[in-house]
Amino acid sequence: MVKLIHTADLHLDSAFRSRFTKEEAENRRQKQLMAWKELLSFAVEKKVQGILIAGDLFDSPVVSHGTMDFFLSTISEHPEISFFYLRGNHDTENTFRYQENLPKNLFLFSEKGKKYRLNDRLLLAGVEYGTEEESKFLKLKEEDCNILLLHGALYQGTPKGEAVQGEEGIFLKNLEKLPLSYIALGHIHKGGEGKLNNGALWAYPGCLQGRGFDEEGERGFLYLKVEEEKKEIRKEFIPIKQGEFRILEIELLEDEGTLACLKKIEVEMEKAGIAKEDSLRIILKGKKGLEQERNLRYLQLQLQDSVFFLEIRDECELSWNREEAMKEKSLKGEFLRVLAAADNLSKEEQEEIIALGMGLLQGGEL
Amino acid sequence: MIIEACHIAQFGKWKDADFSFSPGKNSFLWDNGYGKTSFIYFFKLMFYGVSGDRKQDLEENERKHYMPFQGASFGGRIIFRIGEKRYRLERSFGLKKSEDSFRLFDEDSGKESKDYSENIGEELFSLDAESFQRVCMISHEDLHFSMNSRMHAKLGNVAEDQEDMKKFQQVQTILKDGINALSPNRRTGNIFKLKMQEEELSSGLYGKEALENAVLSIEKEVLSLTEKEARRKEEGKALEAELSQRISEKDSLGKWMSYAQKKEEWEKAEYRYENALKWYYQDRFSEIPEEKKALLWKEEMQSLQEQIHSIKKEIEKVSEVSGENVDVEVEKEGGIVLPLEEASVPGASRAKKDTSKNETFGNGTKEMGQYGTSPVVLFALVGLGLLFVLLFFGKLFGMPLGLPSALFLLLGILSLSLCFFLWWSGEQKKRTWKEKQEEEEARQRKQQAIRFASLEELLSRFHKLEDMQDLEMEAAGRKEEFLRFVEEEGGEQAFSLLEEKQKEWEEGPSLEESRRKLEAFRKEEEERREEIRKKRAEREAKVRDLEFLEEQERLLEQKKEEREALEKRYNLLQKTKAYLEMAKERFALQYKEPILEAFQKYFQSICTEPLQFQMSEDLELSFVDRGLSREQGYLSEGLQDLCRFCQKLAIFDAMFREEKAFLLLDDPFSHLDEKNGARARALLEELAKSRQIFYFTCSEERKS
Repeated sequence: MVKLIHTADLHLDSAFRSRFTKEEAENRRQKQLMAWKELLSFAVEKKVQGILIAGDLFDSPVVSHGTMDFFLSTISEHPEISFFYLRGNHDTENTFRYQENLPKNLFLFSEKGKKYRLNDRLLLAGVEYGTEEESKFLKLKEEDCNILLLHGALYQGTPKGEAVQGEEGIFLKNLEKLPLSYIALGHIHKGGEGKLNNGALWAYPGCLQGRGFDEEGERGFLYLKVEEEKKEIRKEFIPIKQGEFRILEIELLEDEGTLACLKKIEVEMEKAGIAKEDSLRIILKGKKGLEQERNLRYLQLQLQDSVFFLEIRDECELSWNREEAMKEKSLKGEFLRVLAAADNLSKEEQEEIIALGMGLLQGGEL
Repeated sequence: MIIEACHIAQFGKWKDADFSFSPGKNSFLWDNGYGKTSFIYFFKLMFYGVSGDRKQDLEENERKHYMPFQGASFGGRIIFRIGEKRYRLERSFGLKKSEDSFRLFDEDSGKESKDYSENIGEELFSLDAESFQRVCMISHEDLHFSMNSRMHAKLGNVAEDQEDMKKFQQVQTILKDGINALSPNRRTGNIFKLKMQEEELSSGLYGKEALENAVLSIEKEVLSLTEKEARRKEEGKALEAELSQRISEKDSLGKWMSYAQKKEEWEKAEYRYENALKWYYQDRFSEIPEEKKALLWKEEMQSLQEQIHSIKKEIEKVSEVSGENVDVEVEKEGGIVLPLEEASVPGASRAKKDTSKNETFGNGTKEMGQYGTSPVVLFALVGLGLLFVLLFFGKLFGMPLGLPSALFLLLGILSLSLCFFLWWSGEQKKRTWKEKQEEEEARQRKQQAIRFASLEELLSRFHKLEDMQDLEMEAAGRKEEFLRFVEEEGGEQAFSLLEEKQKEWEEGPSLEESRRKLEAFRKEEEERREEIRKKRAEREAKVRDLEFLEEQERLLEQKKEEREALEKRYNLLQKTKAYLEMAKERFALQYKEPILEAFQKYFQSICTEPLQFQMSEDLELSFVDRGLSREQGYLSEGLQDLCRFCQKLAIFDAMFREEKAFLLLDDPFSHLDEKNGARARALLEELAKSRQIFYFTCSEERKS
C-alpha cells in the first residue's frame, strides 16, 4: 500500500488585500505557511510517501524570497517524502526552475506532461495547466494503477480532440477513455468528488486554507491510501485548523436589544466552536423595531478579542406595523407613506432609508 | 376657549385691575402708554409663565420687564371657560423662578384642579410660548411671520407626536452636514479625499504589471543563462580534459625530452671521450683493443703524475736555496700539489707578498748587506768631518782652540773623504756582488726554466690526460644518469612509446593553446555567473519593489471598499434627506392649501387688489404677477402688513379648527389706509362671531 497526500490551491504568499490591515495580512500569510507545516506533520506521522500538489501552490507568478526559501527548506527537511508539483494557473513555468539547488525530492511536471513511476504498479502522470497535450502521450498501461494530476475546472461537454484539457476545461469524456484509477485535481477551492464512467475517482481537495469569507468553513487536504494491486484508492479529508473563515447568522427577536444580542452571539460562537485564530462574520438576522438601534460598535468591542478578525453586519428586517404606521398623522407617518409609494427603491433601500430617517427623527445620531 | 374675566394684581403699570370680557370682540381704546402691550403680555405670561430669566435685555427678560419697580411679586388671575368647564387660573411671579406660584381651580366648585399643569398654555393651545406669541398675538409693531416646527405640528393637527416635526429641521441639518462631510465633490468631503487617495495609489501602481513582467523576464534570463551554463559545463570538462592531457603530454614530452637530452648528453660525452682517446692514441686507436684503450692512458697519467711530483720537489728545493721566499698559492688536484699559473708563466713562482725590496730578497738582502760599510761608521765619519769643519770656522771666527784652523780643516776634509771613500767602495762591492747574484740567479732561473719547461710539458700532457679523465668520468656520469632516469621512468619501453607519440603531440594543439582556451572558457563562465548573480540580485530588488506595490494595492483596495461604502452611505443620506423633505412637503400640503385659501379670502375681504398668491411649504407667501412668482417684498409696506395680518388669521384658523384660542390684536391696522382699515375692522367683526378677540387701539377711528 502506498500512502499519499493530495492537496492543491495553497496560494501561498496571498496578498490578503481587502479587509485586513497590513499586519493582519502578514499574519494570515504566516498562517498559510503554518497550514503547510501542519500538513507535513501529518505526513510524517502517517509515514506518507508522496505529496501531490495539484497546482496554484503560490498566489502570484512572483514569489517572495522568504516564502520560497521556507517552502523549499520544508521539502529538503523531508527527503523521505517525494513531492510532486503540478503548475496551476497562478504559477509560472519558471516558479521552481528559476530556483537554485532544488531539493532532489521535488519532482516537476511539464507542458508536455510527465510520468513518474512510484513503484512497479503505481504510476503518476501530470499535465500542466493550459496545455492541450493529447491524451495519447500518456500511454498508460491497463495493468498499472494510474493517477493523473490536473489543474482546472471539469468540462462535461464533448471535446473536439483527444486532449485531456483545453480552453473549456478538463475534458471528462476524454479522461474516461484512459485507464485511470484516480484524478487528483486542483483549481476549485471548494472540495468535491465524483466518479467517471470508467470507474476512475476524481476529487478536488479544495484550498488548504480559506482566504476570505467566500471560502468559509472547514478546509484541508485528502489523505489517500492506494492499494495499487487492486487499483483501489481510499481517501479521507483531513481538516486544517490554522484560522478558518466563519460566518454566523444570529436570529434576533424584535425586543432583543444589544445585550441580549451579545449573549446570543456568545452562545452561538461557543456552539460553532469558533477558535481564536478564526476570522468571523456575524450577520444579525431577524427583526428590529423602527425605533430600535442595536449598538454594533459595542458588540464589536466586546467580541473582537475572541477572534482574529471580526465583522458584524446588521441585516435585521425592520419590524413595524406598516398599516398603522402609515396611517399616523405625523411627519413620520408621511415619511413612511412617501417611501411606500416610491417605485424606484428596492425593499432593502426602503428599509435602510426608513431606519435612518426614523432613527434620526427619534433623536438618534448619524 | 373663552376668557371671561381677569384680575391683574400687579403687572407692569397695571395694579389691581379687574376686567370682564365677552366671548366675541372686546375692543379697548387706550392711549399710548396706557398699558396695552402689558395687558396683552399679561395673558401670555399667565398661561406660559415667565421667559428670558437669563437674558439681560429688558425686552427679552419678561420678569424684569413686568416686575413692579418696587420689586414686589406680580401676577393675577384669569377665569376662563373650555366647553362647559370654568377654571380660575392664579399665577404670581417673584424675583426668581422659585418664588413663582401657579394654582388652578375649578371655578364652579372652587376646588383646586389638576386638569392642567403650570404648562397650561402648551396643554391648552398645543403651542409653545413663542408659537403662541406668533400666532395669537398680532401687533402692528411686528406683523412678520415665520413658521417653526411646533407650529407646523400644530397645523398638522398632530397631538400625539410632534417631536418629529420639531426635530425635522435638526434632522435635515444633520443629514446635510453628513452629506457634506461625505461629499464626492467638496475637497473636504471624505469620498473626495478617498478618491484622491485612490488616484494617488493607482498612479503608483501603474508600473506594477511592468515590474512583475520584468521580474518574470529576469527569471527567464537567469534560467536561460543557467541552462547555458549547464550545457557549457560539458565543454568545460572537455577543455579541462584536453588541458590535463596536454599537461600529461607535456610531462610525457618533458620526460621524453629529458630522455632525449640525457641520451644526447651521454652520447656527446661518449663522443668527446672517444675523440680524446683518438687524439691520444692517434693512428693506434683502431689497433688497440677496447679494453686497453681505457687503461693505457691512465698508466701514462700515473707516470706523469710521478714525474711532475719529483720535478716539483726539485723546484721547491731550488726556490728555498736561492733565498726566494716562495710564497705560492697551491692547488691540490688529484693529490698533487701544483703551483698556480705555472703553465702560463714558465718558471714563475709568484710570491704572495712583495712589500719591500728587502723582504723580496729575504736572505739575499742580508748577504748583500755584508759587503757595504755600516751606516753607523759612515754617519760617524760624516759627523766628525762636519765637526772639524765647524771647528775650522770656529777658529776662523776666533774660537780659542788649541789646534790651528787648517788642521781642523784638514781633519774635516779627511773625515769626509774617508767617509766618501768607504761609502763608494762599499757600493762598488755591492754592485759586484749584485752582479754576481744576478748572474747566479740568471743561471738558476735558466735551470729553473728548463725544469719548468719540462714540467710544463709534463703538466700539459698531464692536463690533457686529466681532461680525458674528465671526459671519461663525464661520459660515465652521463651514462649512469641516463640509465637511472630510464629505470625511474619505467624502462626503455615507455620511452619508445613516447617517441611514437611525440610526433602526434607536436602536430596537435599546444599546451599553451589549450590553457588559453580553458582560461577563456573559465572567464566566460565567471562572467556568466557574475551575470546570473547580478540578475538574481536585480530580481530580488524588484521583488522588494513589488512587495511595496502589493502593499499599495492592498491599501488601494481598502480605500476603494471604504469609498464604496461611503458612497452607499452618501446615497442613503441623500435619499433619506430627499424623502424626508418630500414627506414634510406633503405633510405641509395638508394645511397649506386651506391656509392659502383662508388667506386669500381674508385678503380679498380687506383689499381689492386682484392679487393671486402662492404659499411655500414654510408658508412663505408670494404673489403671481404676469405668470411669474414674486416675493412679498415687491408689494408696498401696507400691503405687506395686510398680507401678514391675513396670513396670521388664516394660520390661526388652521391651527385652531375646533377649540379656538383667543386673538390678541395690538392695533394691527395702524398701517392700513382708511378703506382697507375699515374692511379689516369689518372682518374682525365677522371673525369675532367664531372666536374671542381682544382688540387694542389708540385711535378712536380704528376702534369703530
